[in-house]
Amino acid sequence: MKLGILVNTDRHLDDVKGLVNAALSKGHEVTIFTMGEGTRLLENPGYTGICKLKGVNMAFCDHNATGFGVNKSVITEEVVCGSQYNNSVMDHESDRVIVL
Amino acid sequence: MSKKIAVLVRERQGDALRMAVGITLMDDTIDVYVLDRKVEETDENTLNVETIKDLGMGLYTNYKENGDMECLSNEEIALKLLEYDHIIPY
Amino acid sequence: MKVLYLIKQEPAETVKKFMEEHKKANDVAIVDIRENKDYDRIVDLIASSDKVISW
Repeated sequence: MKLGILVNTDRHLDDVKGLVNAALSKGHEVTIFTMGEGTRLLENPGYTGICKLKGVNMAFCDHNATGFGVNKSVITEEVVCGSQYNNSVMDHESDRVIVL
Repeated sequence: MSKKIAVLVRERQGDALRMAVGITLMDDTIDVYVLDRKVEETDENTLNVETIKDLGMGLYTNYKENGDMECLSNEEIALKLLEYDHIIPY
Repeated sequence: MKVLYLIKQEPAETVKKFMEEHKKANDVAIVDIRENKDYDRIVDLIASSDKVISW
């Protein structure tokens, strides 16, 4: 399964990590798109570090990150600074999409 | 293969409507359901609702005061949701 | 059809109506992620469900 996770709040970091790890352990691929209030998590290395796991792709909405005043200089370069295009690709390519 | 996606617009209408327009970029079919409240009349929401109409996307609501959207009961919306590949509440 | 509800907050009346309607003719599973942290099982449910609704 290709699992898409739309992260649009900053309230479910532990659940994101738990679900990503469980999915990877079962051989699934995970794509994460971060937008809205979720962009606040981008300053947390515990969140962006997820992108270093094999089988995970991460991108975020630059428009929202700017709007929420996120310090983008601390975001690891493996996390793609993107737009809703990245979200549309995630939706298009994922077998399931959840929202956290 | 093209996907069919429902965006459910709840409290955070601005981001939800912007996202609904944005995720059309892969040529998937995107329909929008405005739930439980009137769309706040901001410039951004007005523009995005107009864009949704211009793009021929489905625009539905369960809230009668959303004038020119097709109003459906919750039961009707529930049944329609099962037609989509992805259901994205926002 | 297998429908999974992934609950993250107190369900609003609207989603309760959706659940009621879906239960009439579908196999509905409800996981409250505020309490249920069995992520292995949740991933299995996501993978095996036809529709997933996060609320």
